[in-house]
Amino acid sequence: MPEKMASSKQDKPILRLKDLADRNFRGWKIELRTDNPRRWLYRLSAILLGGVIALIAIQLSIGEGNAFERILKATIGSRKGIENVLELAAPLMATGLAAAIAIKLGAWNVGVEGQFFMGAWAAAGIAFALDGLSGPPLLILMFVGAIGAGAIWMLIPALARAYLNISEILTTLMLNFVAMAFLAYWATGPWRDPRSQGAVLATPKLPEQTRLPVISIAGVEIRFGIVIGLVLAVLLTAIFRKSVFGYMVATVGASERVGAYAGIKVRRLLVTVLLASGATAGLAGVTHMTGGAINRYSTSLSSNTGYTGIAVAVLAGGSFLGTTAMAVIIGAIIAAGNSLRILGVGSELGRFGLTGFILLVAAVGEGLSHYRLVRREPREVAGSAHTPLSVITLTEDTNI
Amino acid sequence: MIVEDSAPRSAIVPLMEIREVTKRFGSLIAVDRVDLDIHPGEVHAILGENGAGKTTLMNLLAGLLKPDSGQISLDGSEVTISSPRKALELGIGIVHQHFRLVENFTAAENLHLGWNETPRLAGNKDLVDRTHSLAKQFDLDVEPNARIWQMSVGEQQRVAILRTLSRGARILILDEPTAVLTPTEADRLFEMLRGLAIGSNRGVIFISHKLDEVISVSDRVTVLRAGSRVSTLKTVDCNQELLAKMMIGRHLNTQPAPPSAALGPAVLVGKGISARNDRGVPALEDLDIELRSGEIVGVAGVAGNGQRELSEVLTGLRPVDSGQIFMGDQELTGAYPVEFLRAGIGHIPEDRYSSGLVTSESIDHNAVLRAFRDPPIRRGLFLSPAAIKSYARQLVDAVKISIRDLGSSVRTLSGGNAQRLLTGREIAAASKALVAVHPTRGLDVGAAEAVRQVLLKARDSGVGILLISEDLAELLSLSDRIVVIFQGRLTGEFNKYEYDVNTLGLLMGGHPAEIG
Amino acid sequence: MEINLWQETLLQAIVLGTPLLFVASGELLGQKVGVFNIGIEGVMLIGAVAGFIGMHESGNIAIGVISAALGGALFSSLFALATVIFRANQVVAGFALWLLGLGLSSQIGRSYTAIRASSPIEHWKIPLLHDIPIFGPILFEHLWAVYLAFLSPFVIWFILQRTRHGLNIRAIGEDPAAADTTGVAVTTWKFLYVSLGGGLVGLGGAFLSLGTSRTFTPFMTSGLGWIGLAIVMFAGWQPLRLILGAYLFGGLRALDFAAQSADWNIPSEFLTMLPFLGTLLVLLVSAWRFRNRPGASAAPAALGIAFFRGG
Repeated sequence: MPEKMASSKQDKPILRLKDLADRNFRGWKIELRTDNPRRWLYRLSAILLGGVIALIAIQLSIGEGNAFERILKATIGSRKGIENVLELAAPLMATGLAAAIAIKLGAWNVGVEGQFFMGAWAAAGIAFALDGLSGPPLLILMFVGAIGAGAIWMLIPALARAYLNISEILTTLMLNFVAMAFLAYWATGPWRDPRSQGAVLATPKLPEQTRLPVISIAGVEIRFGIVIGLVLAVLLTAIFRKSVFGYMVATVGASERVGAYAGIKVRRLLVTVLLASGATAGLAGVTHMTGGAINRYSTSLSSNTGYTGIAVAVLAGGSFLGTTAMAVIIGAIIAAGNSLRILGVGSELGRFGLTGFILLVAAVGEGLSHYRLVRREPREVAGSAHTPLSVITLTEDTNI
Repeated sequence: MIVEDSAPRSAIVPLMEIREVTKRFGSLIAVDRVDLDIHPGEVHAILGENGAGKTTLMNLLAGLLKPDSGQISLDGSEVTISSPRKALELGIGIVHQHFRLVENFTAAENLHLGWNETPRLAGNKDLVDRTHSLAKQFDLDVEPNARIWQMSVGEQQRVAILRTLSRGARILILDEPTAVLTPTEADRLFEMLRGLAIGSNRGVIFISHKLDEVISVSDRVTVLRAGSRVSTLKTVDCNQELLAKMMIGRHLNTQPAPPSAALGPAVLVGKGISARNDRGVPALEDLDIELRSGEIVGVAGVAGNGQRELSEVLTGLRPVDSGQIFMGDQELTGAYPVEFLRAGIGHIPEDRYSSGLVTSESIDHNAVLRAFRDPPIRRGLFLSPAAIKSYARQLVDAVKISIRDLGSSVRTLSGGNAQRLLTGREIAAASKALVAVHPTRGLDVGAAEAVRQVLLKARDSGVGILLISEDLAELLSLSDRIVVIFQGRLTGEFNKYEYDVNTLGLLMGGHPAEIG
Repeated sequence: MEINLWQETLLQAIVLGTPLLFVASGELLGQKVGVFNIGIEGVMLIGAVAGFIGMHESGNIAIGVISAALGGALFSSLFALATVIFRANQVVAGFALWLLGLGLSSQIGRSYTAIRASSPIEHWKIPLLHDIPIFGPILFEHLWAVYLAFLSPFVIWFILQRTRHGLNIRAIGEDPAAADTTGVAVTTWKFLYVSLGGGLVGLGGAFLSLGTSRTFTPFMTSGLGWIGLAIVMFAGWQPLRLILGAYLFGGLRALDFAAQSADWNIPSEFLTMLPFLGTLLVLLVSAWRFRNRPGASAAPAALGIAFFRGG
């Protein structure tokens, strides 16, 4: 058992001349810390820093033409730009929330993409089968079907993680590839639109009554997905902050062992939360299909929204409300990347490259937040009131 | 009269000299201007309570920490121990309390890890052969092909010592080496250490807080208290009372607590329990235990004999392979932990930070960890923040911790306060029985005493307490009954005032009792 | 020599398993020092594009292969920098690496996508052996990189199990604190092995762009990196078992080809699913076997955990 600093007597230190001599140089040292109340600040600075570096790199590499001006125009600089950003953000909100739910338990649902497609698939199937129904009842059925399909697609990974301790990262990801092939089968086979050609495979358009409305605020047209995303985020925040369920998730998320000790049925909770994550991804699929521009079931429906959504949730630190805001930021980044296409920048660079780069920088920022720079100053020796509690005092497993 | 043994001996150049070494952490001085000489051929004990600065001093010598001021000399010339590797190069070898052996490696692999004398090309057979010959050279009994996790703690320790010696350590430092050993293994260790030191040019530093061990193994002893050196003495001039006084600054109190007033009916009963540990190896075998209302039953034993598994089985955290668990008339075998909780069983776990508290969460979150399912804290599907706050406030007041902000994280609490919080919470949950594992380990004297008082009070109010501890003095003082656990079985039972420490020691080491 | 369908299928199993073998070997090197890189799909793509450009600009296949290895290693060192030096979360950083690799490789390779490789990886007929009836054409008439991939697990095995250096390296993945105490340079070796592993993964990418498809297309790895991760688990972290895993999964991919040749009446999408479903099944079965022995996992004990020197 290590001796504990905190438990030993707090001697009043005496400032000696010798100490001053030892400490009075402007050196810095790096210390490990276990808790950092301003972690989000590190993350935010990292995101901004990553964005600026990326922008400079792009401007330098294309040489001619003003990338910045184009980007501004394509994002927040015009009404059309704002609409474009929000359109890109709409599906990211829901997929981001799906990933964020799993993150609350420290789990990684990398399968959002697949669940998104399975949700859309189920909804499309219902729409084609029951196209005689009027809008509201049909939409409700489609949403229920999509939510269920998303959850079912998560069932095996959830059970495998809870009962066999198999990493959900691999299982959910494998099922994405399965879902993609499954999708390709339906879009090329039974549901193929005879008029669709080339690389994009799609079904005919969905019945007209299944289109979600577009809302206009101050002349800006907003997809219904934004509304669903915001409402969902508020709802999830309330559930996870205020409910017994949320309390249990917070406990198990911090430590499965403590969770079990507290009498929480950890496995059951894990399965529930992962299924909720999958269901939300399914919801994202049907929302995007009925509320987005494509309005049909197609291989290009997602544009990898599921994967980007995970990045959104991570960048938001797993916060639900933060996820909705981050979805808009990432939407803007994607829009920015698209706007540079004419300058020889591929859309993949914006959608993946920039997001990946910023995520990597943010991960480094998060890693850095485990450290602190401590200035070796005489003041520290004097133990003045504003000297932060040494981290070492706070960890049980640090031998002194 | 005691003469301090610090006069320079002109005849011998000390192996190691430490002068005025100081180390601070923030505002706390962990080691304060400590002097120390180690002579060749001696076993030098460093004695001190938890927090006296023993481990810090050792980490300074190991190169894990750098002193803020002071000098360390070897063979008369000053050295800087900049890293663990440097320490080894200088001939300073440490055997840590946790041996820092790779669990999944064999003894041979561990011995050769990170060693520049290991042949560059070496298959397992080469390593095993080399291990055999090294073990022979130092006369240590080590099985080269056994994996560390399969070994007893004593065997692991021998691997660690052999590793240190093989690398040419002239100063061998052992950190609380007996904490995890049976009395027999400890005796064997002492014999070995004396053999290694006497007549050699090696010095052994033996760090401990156990008076009897210090007296039986060392030639000289240095006592540390609150970071400062109190004195250095020849062991032959010392006795336990004297050392204890120097170590704690007061007399040792071994008065047993008053016995149970009202012994009630059996509350928590385990019948024929068998269970396995985390590695799937049997840890409990056909064990019977009965805990009655209003008594403290102490479980004595050397670490790793099934204590952890027993505590987890009795609180529903670990499934049993066979056997039954009852709470009064209610059978709990195979039930979820939450049903053990509902039956009124509290649990102070072995490792409070990784098992009993959510360190990243607030104090009030932790305070209601056992009570969040019940009204008024729970209201339907939701929790009442006001009820949580008032529950937490009551709890904190009851265990006498002064906390202004209940929303601050548990990490900001000292070890003592965190344990008080946990103890208070578990006593509140334990309406019938409490399983307490090492409840005072790592706490300072004041906090430990507070926790003991809380336990006694709970017992007097009719709770049955199973006290699992490695601190024999604590067991002897608090328990109304003591059982001994060895290799997953209970091997002896004693009533209060009937214990014989020697018999207890023998039983803990697996020797059959010869009770008259 | 006449080659029939099942011979061709076995041949394809080896060819399609080869990039997996490179990728899994590279991932294993990282995991042995405790670093779990889920972004190797991105590393593979960088290797594919770097190899293709190197070859195209120099007209020399050796330079192409070296650039692929270097590209993969450098790109992985970015991940090593984030996770080993800055202790970033390995899952997040790996995910980021994947996205970055997808975007970056597509961008870099934009102007090379429609070109055929001018000097691709060639076939080597191993003298004498390829004349063996039946097995000769299956085993000994491959692209030379196939043999290289086959050898890499043996080299890794030898280093890990038969050298002092390998002993230290394994200890880093098992218990970095213990390795550190004995003076092993934990951080340095972690960094180097993750980067080195990235080099192998990069070769896996180049095998596609310079060997089998002989052209670069964005996203051409289509999930192979992820299967490589699963193969490491399937192999129980033992280098030699990677060979079995990689060719088994190569075989699953070859079934698609066989079905097309033999006109089986199965939609090809379902055959595309096979390797992924197979991976899932393997994970489930191997975990089921160990379900009651939680301590029996063969994974390096410190896998995925950042190392901090205490104090």
